[in-house]
Amino acid sequence: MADSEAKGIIEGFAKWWAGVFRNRHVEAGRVMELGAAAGAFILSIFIFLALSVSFGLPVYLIPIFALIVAFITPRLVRKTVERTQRNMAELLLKSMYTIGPYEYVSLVMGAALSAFVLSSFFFLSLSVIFNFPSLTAFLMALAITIISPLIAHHYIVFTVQRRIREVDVNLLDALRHLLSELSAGVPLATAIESIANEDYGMVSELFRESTVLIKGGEDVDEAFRITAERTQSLQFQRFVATLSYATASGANIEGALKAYIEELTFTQANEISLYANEAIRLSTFMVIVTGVIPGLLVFMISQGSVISSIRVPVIYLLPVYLIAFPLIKYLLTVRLVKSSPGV
Amino acid sequence: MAGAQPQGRFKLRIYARLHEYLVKKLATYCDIVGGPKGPDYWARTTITAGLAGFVLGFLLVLVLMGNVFYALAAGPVIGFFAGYAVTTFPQTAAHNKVDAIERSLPLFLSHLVSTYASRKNMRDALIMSTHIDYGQLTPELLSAMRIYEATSDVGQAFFRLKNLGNRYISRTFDIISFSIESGVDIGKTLNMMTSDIQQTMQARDDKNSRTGLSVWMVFASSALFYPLFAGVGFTILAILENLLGATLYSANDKGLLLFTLLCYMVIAVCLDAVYIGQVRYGSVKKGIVRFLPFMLGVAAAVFIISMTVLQTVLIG
Repeated sequence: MADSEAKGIIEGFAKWWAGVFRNRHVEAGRVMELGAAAGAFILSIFIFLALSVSFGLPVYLIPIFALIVAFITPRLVRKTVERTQRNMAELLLKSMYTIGPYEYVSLVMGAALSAFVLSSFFFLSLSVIFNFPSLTAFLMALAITIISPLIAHHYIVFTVQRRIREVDVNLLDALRHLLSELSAGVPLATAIESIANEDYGMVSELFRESTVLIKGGEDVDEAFRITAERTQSLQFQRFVATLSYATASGANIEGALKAYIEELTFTQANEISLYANEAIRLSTFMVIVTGVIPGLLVFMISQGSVISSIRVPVIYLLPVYLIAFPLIKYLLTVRLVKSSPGV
Repeated sequence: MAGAQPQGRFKLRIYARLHEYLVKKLATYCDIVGGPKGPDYWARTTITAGLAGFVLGFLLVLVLMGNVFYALAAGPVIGFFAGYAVTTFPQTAAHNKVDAIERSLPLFLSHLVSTYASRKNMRDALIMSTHIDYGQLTPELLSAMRIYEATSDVGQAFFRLKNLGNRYISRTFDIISFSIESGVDIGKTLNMMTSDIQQTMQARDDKNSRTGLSVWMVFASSALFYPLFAGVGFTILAILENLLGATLYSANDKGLLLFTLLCYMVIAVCLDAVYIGQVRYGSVKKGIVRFLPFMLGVAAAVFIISMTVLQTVLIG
């Protein structure tokens, strides 16, 4: 999926969920705190129950501890949400998203609610088909509900960072285009406009903003300086500095651009080398952790049941195969995708 | 157009709707590929493959596992993937064609620039270029020049080439169109473009060669290693039960285990296809189109073969 498509989908979902919460006069952050309190209460009951069985903890302490955990959790969640909202506000702005911190929290909360409904349906259906307790199905749905906001947050951050990185990935092509236009004798403002109208992802969006400013009467270097504040891409900021220097000192823009393009080409080659090493390291880990181990686990279960008479209940494997392994695989995949040079 | 008023042509409304949806989805790709097989043909083939997959999947699971419920659950899933696999054919063909045209651009541009340098006329230079074989680019170029000669409309002539969804191809023909219309000398610009495309392709080849090993490792992890070990492990359970003459796990537990293993196989293959698409082509969609059906097919085949071979060898 292209980054612009992912951006559109995320913005659409975020605005929809924000609308849902607004129409019902519900604060998404408040729902998240309440949900966290309920989840923490249920989970801590199970954890303290296990501890009481293992270490002889008095049973009457279980609800007391669970209530303490349920009381503390919303405060921690509130602090975390506030801190995340602050960080996300700047990140969303710099990646040219049209959603704010409120929509972001609504989306994360919406993801949790959707995950709860869908996973409850899925696991309860499985419990009926394969005849295992509904409580187990509910706990698995709860696990998915707890993980899903983290995944949603992680995915949004990933998409935002990719949009920032999209600038680095497309800049070289866009600058080559700009240089070819300039060498054909096209004026700088027209050449910038033609980049703005092409499909260079976020680079085109930044050029479009500059074009608007130039048409509004700003100098080219000033327009780009203002636009550069909207991105975290160091390469774009360096391009703006190069352009400003060339226009202010009366130097040849084409020459300066050519030198910068050569530098970017060299950087790209280096990035490919670095990525290749990272890819081999992570993919080896991925093969073992998410390919060989899940396969061998079945071996161990079948052999173990005969050799050492240890029969692992199959229901224990369900969260391992449907939650843990896919989660590890997702995180490794995202890490690999994030650092890809994008050539 | 094929697929027009489909609800009137087909007796089953659901078939008509599906056909219409598929025609709309595949029209762009079929347009790029050209040839006699249009979106209507692929839409019909997709539906046929889906139905065939459903029936075969149902029968296969029924024969292998002897459970009607599993067969009923597996049939639609297999049918869906069979249909989806067919839709990827025109998409892959379109991507391949665009890639082939992009690969032939440096040579085409080098010839064009050299002819243009001597004649100083873009139309003549293009006509000269149509006599050289640039693979998939030549028929497109010929057709564009035919339209231009007949209509003298540059926009109409190069419309197809400019809208293939490739940045370099559209930029090349934008510049060429501009030169034909204005008569401006674009020799230097085309030379720069040739060098840019060449450098980008070299960088891409370099990246693909360096990341090739990791891509194949990831492919093997979900399409080979995991289904092999999971299939063998699952079968060994049945073999041990057979040897011991005792039931280690109930039929219900074994069903749940098989479901869990298959679910993870599908999730793992999807995630790996996304990764491969992103790393190899810089596009998640291309990974899903080009790799997902193939990887799923390989994984399913390895899983079934590892189960049946082991069962046949050890149990008979």
